[in-house]
This record gives sequence, structure tokens and C-alpha cells, in this order.
Amino acid sequence: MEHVAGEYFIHLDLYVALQVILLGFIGGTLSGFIGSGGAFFMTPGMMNLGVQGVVAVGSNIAHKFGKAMVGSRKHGEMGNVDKKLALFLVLTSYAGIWLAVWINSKLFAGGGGGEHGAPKGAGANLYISIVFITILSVVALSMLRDVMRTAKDEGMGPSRKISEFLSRLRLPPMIYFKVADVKVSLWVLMMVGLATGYLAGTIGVGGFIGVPAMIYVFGIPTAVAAGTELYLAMFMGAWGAVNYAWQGFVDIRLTMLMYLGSLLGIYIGAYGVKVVNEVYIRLVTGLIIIICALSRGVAIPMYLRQLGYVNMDPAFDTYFNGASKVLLFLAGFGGVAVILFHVFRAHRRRRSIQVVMEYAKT
Amino acid sequence: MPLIFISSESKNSRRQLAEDLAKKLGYGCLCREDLIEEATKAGIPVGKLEVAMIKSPAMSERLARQKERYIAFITAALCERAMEGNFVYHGRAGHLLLQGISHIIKVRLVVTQETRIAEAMTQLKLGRDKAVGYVKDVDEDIERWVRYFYGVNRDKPGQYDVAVNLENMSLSNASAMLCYMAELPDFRPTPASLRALENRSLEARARKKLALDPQTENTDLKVRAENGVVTVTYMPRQPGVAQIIPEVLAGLAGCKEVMCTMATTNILWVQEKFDPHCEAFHQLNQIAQRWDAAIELVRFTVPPDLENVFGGTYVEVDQSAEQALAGTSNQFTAEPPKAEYNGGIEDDVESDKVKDVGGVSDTIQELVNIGRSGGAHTIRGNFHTLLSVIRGDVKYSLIVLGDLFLSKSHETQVRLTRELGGYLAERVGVPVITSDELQKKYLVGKKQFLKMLLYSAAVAALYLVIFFAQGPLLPFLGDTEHMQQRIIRMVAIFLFIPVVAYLYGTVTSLFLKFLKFE
Repeated sequence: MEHVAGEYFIHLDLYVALQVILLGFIGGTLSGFIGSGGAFFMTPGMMNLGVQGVVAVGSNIAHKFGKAMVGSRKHGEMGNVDKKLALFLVLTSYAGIWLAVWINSKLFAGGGGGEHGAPKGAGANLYISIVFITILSVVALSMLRDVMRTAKDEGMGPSRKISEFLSRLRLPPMIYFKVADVKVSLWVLMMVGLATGYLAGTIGVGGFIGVPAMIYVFGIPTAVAAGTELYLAMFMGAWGAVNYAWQGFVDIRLTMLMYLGSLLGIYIGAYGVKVVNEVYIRLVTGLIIIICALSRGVAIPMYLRQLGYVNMDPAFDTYFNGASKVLLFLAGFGGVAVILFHVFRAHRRRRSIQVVMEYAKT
Repeated sequence: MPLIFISSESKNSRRQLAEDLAKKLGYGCLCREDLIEEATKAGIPVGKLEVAMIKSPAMSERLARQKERYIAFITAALCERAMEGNFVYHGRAGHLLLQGISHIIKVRLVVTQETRIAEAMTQLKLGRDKAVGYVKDVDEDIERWVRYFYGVNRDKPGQYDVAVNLENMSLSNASAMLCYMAELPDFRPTPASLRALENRSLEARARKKLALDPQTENTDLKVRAENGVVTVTYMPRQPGVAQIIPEVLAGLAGCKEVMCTMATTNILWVQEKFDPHCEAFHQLNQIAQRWDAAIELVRFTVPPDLENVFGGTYVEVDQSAEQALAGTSNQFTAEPPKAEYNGGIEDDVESDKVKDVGGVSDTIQELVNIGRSGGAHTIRGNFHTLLSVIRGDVKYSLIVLGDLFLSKSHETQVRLTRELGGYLAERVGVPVITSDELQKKYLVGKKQFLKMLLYSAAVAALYLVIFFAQGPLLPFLGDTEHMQQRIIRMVAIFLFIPVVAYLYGTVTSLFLKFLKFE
């Protein structure tokens, strides 16, 4: 992929622009369906299009900023936002984001840089990919294990050993949050905020940590956890966007193209939640996420070669990148096809019920 | 005579008080532990459910179903006992199971921490430190259980009729005081409270029957019953269940009619007089179709001599629903006429026809026709009385306030409606709007179409500017050498991104609304 101006912004033609819009649409649909950010799909997707990992993360976090702002307003109207809790989390999450941006920038400046035919930023790409694979694998395997346990009729839900331990930790000072109606230790809050910020800053998916932590560790109702995380995501997105913008890693064109697809996809995905049962949602989500992780894994040898850790013909890069891209789009297209199938089937059924009602009336 | 429900974290004290009270009043005595034993025998894993709810509140579908099943079982058991005769019940939070029934005295029994520690030391043979820890853990578990199970804080005083503190009062005197209280006319059964109990009983029995039937045990259903009409709402993802529900509920004692509505949520419409031909009805129907929502009607009137509209004295609650279907009328009458259920077939004789006070019957009939009925109530009282009809186990997405306080001047109507909106929004936590705002906020018309066009033009302009100016834009975005450039870039991105998201988000939302896809 050809890079322009400042070495690391890609050249955008209509074909690439359409692919970014499609990435946004798939990411948005998955995001609405899963209830977490779609960055786990959009960031690697952009990397497959030749966008530098650090620019993909920077542009995605800017995308997250605007999206969370629109979404948190609706949650606020429903009383699902605990602003005090978000404020406590946001302070430490800023430290996490700052740390993530600092690491990414250092690796970007240090890794690759032309040796072994490597483009600049191979070090950052490798690091981002490894974090991606680790987090996505843990999340996907937990989800799939829950599905299996439910299918076997074992237990009532996800395993809670770690969360039970953490929720019993009553290290003073304990802080009371009125909307969420919980008391949480300041230290646990700081830990969660830091981890959420670090992940949001590194791969753009802080929600993978933030929401489960709020539900299982703090004991907050799911709706309040989702609303508060979105409110928090707005601040984290703003802080991340500003930080990455300072470093010159936000490609506003990519952010705007992603919006074109994602804001439409979110509505469709959210509608899907209403018409698909929970176990099926977890199964589809788990499979999509695990294939996304696999897709990133396939790209790893390419970065290792670029950094000189592996001896390999540079011509193979195309195949690794191609395979990674195919897997990612397979996960995205497959997931979205399943969601769209259920959404349109439910929509058609609803219309036919209305027609029958109208007929009965006349 | 009233029923008495005692709630306390001290099992010993509540048992002693309940047994003494039952003996004095000649009542039966029932405790939480008896009901749990029955529920466990019926196949509900109460212990497992309790641990899951206390340890972590994240509600899976399966856990939510077990919770509903448990509540239905316990409520049905309590209602069955209540139909057989008076009793004293003691448990942790039994008062929350049968809310809104005025002939139940809800007692909060407070026992000193020292007494409980001493009890724990004697019964469990623990040292003092361990007993203190044990009592603390029990308190936390009960607090969590009540909060996650019923969504309330058990220490809120408003949910009890009386709190008895045993710090300075003996158990025997507390019992004597409650005996005296049971004689008060305020707690005597009224036709309205007995009807409310019958409704709750039918509702719980219907829910229990659905939960125990293999065809419906794994479905997500909400059940409401009013005057023999059982309204069951089911999720859009389980459409086949609509045919099965009437079969399962066939033969349920007291059930005259079963109505099934596909809904993921409820819209509460509060008004003084309903008309199925009015604009608000048409608008709400459109929103309900888009949201897969059921519309629940509340005919709310305020007595003219009421001094405090916000709360205080309970005035009167008369619940009536779907009279058109049930063919009965019980509006504001002391003794409801015992009309035979006629399946909705009325005689031609005009004089037999029930007068539809407030247009509730016609409106609910129309909602039944279009498959959007969420039931109906008639409430006469203050804001607090109205709040009592909004149940925590029903998922509301919107409350719409229509024409209210019709006996007052226009200015007073506007003020009271605004105050009621604020009162409900603060307590229920869902958007509350007036019917005049429906079009503006949730529907699409000419104004929204113009807005969409205007915003689309703005979005197009922003995109054109950015993509035609890529040449100068990219060096600006990537420059790391000039401090001034970096600061301007940071500020520009911080301001520009939300504007694009807001404008394009609004366009998308309006576009999907036009497609009736929300």
C-alpha cells in the first residue's frame, strides 16, 4: 500500500475508501449486536488495508469519541449513567491511555524503520497484534465456554471466581455510587480504570474490560454498566484522540469514512439483539472474535520478518497479509450475514403480523 | 382482618414475634423457610439461585427465568394461603412480593446488632469475632438479595407501614402493638384491595403454570392479570409461543381470557380521558410498532379536594382493565357488579351496555385489535398512588403524559403535568414526555424530513471539504515538528469529530425512522 504525507497516511482511492466504509459497517453492526466497541474488527481490518497499526488505533479512538458521545446521550436519558463512577474511572483511565500512547509511539519510532525491507512501525504493529490476540482470545474463549456450560446445563452463568475474590476485597477507602447503588474500593476502581484506559489506548477496545468489570466486580446492573462505560468511552476517546492527534497519528479521513458505515450498522446490530436469543448471541460473538484473533495471528510472521526475527522471503508478506485479510472479512461478513438474516426475518415477520392485524380489523 | 408480613434479618426474632402475634390473633403462621422448601420440592433450585444472585448480579437469561419462576411460585403460594384465611408471614422481604394491597400490614422488625451477635454465638457456637463477621456477611447477603431481586433498598422506610425497634421494646409489647394495629380500619380489606389480591393471585398462578409447562418453561414472558383477563407479553425472538400460551393456560381457575402481545418493552400512557381516534393514539401506535412495544394505559384522576398531589395519604386505587373484553364494570363502585363473563358478546339491549368511563374500554379494545395491548388501570389519587402502579418488574421505555388534571385551569394543568413528569422521571428512570412532544421527539414528519435534508447537506459539505483538501490536510495531520501546528490539530480534531458524529448520527437515525426501522 502506498503511503503519503508524513510516510504513514495511506493513499485513499475510491476502492480503499469503500473498504473502510464496509469495515465501519461491519464493525458498527457487530458493536450494536455485542454491545461493545467494534474496534476489535475495525483496527485489524485497517491494518490489513495497509494502515499503520498506530494510525489505525489513533483513528479508531477518534471514531470511538464521537460515537460514544452520541450513544451516551441516549443512555443518559434512560438514567443508565453513573457520572460519579465514570469520573473516578476516567482519571485513572487517562493514565492508562497515556501509557498506551507512549508505548505505541516509542515502538513506532523504534521498530522497523527500513531494515529487512520493513516499513516503519513494524514493532508497533507486532505489539498491537499480540495484545489483540491475547485479549480477544481470552474474551472469546470465556464466551464459548459459557455457551458450552449453558448447553450442558451447568451453572447459572459465567464463572465468577476472580470477580468474587475482587468483589470481596474491601480495601478502604470505599466509595459509594448513588446511581449504580454500590460501594467500591478506590484501589479496585483505579485498577479497573487503568486497565480499561490501557486497552482503549492500545487496541481501542477498553469496553472488553470495563463492562465485565463493572458488572462482575462492582456489582452494577448491566444497563448502568453499559451506559457508564459509554459515557466513560466518550472521555477516554476524547483523551486518546487528543493524544494521538498530538503525535500525528489520527487520520481524520479514515475516522469519517468509518462513521459512514458504523453509525448505520449500530442500529441494525442493536435491533438484532432484540430478535436473537442470548446463547446464540454469545456463540456468534465468540466465534467472530476468535476468528478475528486468528486473523491477527496469521499476520504475526510478517511483522517478525520485518523486524528481522525470522528469515523469510519478503514476497510471502503478501500471502500472510492476504490470508489475514480473508479471515478477518470471513469473520465480519459471516457475523453480519447471520445478524442481518435474523434482523430481516424478524422485520418481515413483524410486517406480516401487522398485515394480518389490519386485515382482521377490516 | 389484615394479613401481616414481617421482614427482618434476624430469623429468631421474626419467628418469635410472628408466632406470638399469630397466637394472639388466631391466625396461621407462615415463614420464608417453609416456602423455600416447597419451591425446592417443585424443582426450583433456590439455593443455587440465591448464591448466583448474591455473588454476582449479572443477569443471564437463564438466571432471569429462574428468578421469575421463583417469584411466581412464592407469590402464588402466598396468594393461595391468603385466599384460605388470614396469616402472619415472616421472612426477609416478603412485603415486596405483594405490593399495592392495602390490607397487608408491612412490618420492618429491627433487632440490635448485639442481640444478633449473641444469637450467632449461641446457635453456631462461634467466638465473638467470628460471630460479628458472620452477622455482617449475612446482612450484606440479604442486602444484595433484596437489591438484585426486587431492585429496591430494603432500608427505605416508605415500603413499610411500621418499623418496630426491639432495642427499647419487648417482643411481647411489640406483638400487642401490632395486634392493636390490625384492628384499625385503615388495614381492613376493601373490595379494591381484595380485587388487587385476586389479580396478583391469578397473575402468579398463570406465571407459575407457564414456568412449569415444558412448552413454555424456556421462554421470556411477562404476565399481568386484571379482572380475569391475563395479558402475556412475549419476545419477538419467540413468536411461536403465542399459539402455545392459550393452550397452556386453558382451564386456569379464574382466567376468563388470555391475550398475547409481542413486546420487548412497555410504553405507559397516562391520561384522564382516552380516545382511540385521537392523534396521540395514532402516534403511540406508530412508535409501539417500531419498538415492538406494548402500550399500557393508566387513567389517572386527582380528587378535586386533594391538598398534596405529591404524596402522603393514600387516597384510592381502583384497578380496572379490559372491561370491554370481560364485559364487567367496576369503576369507582364499592361493590363490583357480578356480571357473568360473556366472552365479549353483548346483548342488543342498550341499557345492559357498560358505560365506558374515560374511554379506557374502547381504547384497550383497539389496542387488542392491533396487538399492542399492555393492560390498563384506573387510578384515583396523588402522584404517589400513580407511582404504585409502575412495577419494577416491567421494562418501561417511555412514559407519555396526555391530558391530565382536566378540572383545573389550563395554567394549572400545564404546571401539574410538568411536576408529575419530573416526579416520575426522577423515580422511574425512563424518559417522561407529554403527548404533544411525541411527534417532535419520536416520529418523523415534514419538520424531521427538512432537518434530515439540512443535516445531510451539512454532512456532504464537510466530507467534500475534507476529501478535496487532502493535499494540504495530510501534512497538517502528520506534522510533528511545529508546536503551533500540533496544538491547532489537537483542538481541531477535538471539535470536528463530535460535530461529524452528531450530524451524521442524526441523519442516520432519521433515515431509519423513515424506514420504520428502529
